[in-house]
Amino acid sequence: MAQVIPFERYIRREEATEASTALEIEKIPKSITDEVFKKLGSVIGQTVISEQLAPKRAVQPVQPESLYTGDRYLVKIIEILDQCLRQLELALEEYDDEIAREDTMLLFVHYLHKVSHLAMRFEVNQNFEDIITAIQAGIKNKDGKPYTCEEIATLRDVVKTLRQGPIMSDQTYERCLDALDKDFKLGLFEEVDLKI
Amino acid sequence: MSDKIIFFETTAVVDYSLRPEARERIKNICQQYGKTVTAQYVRMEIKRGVLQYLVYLYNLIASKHSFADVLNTVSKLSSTPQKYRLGTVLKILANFSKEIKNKTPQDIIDEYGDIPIDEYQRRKSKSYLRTIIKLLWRSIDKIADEIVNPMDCFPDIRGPYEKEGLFINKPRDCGKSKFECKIKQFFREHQIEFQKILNQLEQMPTGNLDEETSRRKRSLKEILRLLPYGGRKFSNKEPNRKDCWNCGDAILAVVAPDSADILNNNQKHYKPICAAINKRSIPY
Repeated sequence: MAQVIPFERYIRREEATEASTALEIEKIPKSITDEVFKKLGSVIGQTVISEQLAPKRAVQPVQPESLYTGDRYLVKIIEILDQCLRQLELALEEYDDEIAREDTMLLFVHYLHKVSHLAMRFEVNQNFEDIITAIQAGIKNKDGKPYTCEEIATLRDVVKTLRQGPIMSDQTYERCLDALDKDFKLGLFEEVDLKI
Repeated sequence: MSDKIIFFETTAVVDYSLRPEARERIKNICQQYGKTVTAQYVRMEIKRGVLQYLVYLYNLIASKHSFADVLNTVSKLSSTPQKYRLGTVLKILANFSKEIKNKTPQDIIDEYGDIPIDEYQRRKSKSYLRTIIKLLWRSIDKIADEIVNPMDCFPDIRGPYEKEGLFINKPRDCGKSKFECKIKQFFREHQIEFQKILNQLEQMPTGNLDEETSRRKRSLKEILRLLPYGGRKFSNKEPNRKDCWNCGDAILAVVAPDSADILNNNQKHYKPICAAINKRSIPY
């Protein structure tokens, strides 16, 4: 079964790969690199200095501060998903108190709309976006009926998966879809008539 | 555990997969049965029918820059019932998207910027349709304990796959399969049943026959007429494959195991067909 790499760990793994590549290049003896520069200089007709040939990283490591500037929406998504998760845990805790539980679920939906907006606004990942849409369709198809314990537990598991990072693989997407399809009614809206 | 078998015809599979209210009814019925069966023929019908419409809508949305363009393109299709159904689906999706957008908390919009409603509708509808397409195709295998295919119908069928942001649903029908089916042999082996179905349809007053039943009657007659002749071909590789498609309901009733009841939502068609071959038509 495919594992989702948590977003933070994904970034760290990228950094590790970059660093080890750079180290390996540095290990090449100077005599060989000098010879390469000389040969290259004769081909292109100019002197090549070693800095020009210094290995360039295809992917620059992500600096923590960038998450709070350029890509801060990713942090925001994780933060809001945490809020979603908290509501779902709370709804399970207070499951027997119907009004409290349904009120908590209203808050969950409120936060989910925020995630939905950000995912669409920044085109985070199609699978990620589709799972949020599937949850929204499932909730619409509930037509206001109170949530069951199984439904809330399924939502909690799916949100936990979403929380692991917005880059969602196809296998994880299908796993989430199957889980939602089991407890929710994801299909076509009642009004849709698509005769074969 | 009951040893009774229930056979899902095409609409039953689609409704179970995509119609939440029908799924509950079907689940209740299925509790009385020990085994669920469907046919590869059902998969073929879904692929060239409802799935093709959904894929078309998805690809249309994916190709257009605005939802208004999508609506406009559908409005220019020929005036068939399907055009109006597609138009209705789009309007329902547009409402669903609008409803969600209207519930988006203002603080997140203020902080991160808004999305124009047209773009929101386009993206949300596309996202929803992608899920529906994937669900439908995957559900066929999940519903049935067994998928029968005695006539080797479209063995190389494959689900729609994504390429460059679009769904590819080709080959769409069995005519493009690499293999030749054995539908003629299947009709020969079950000639008596098909003849009984034809007799039943011929007893029905002509005025009571809808267009689909009339087509079925004509095609059944045509197929039964060519069976004795070895030289007359009948398969997915011949133009007369359309006769096979016209007989879909009759073929499904016959292909269902002898002891199976036929689950359907079209008593008008299935009741006389099932009655002719001593099978039970179960509505949901």
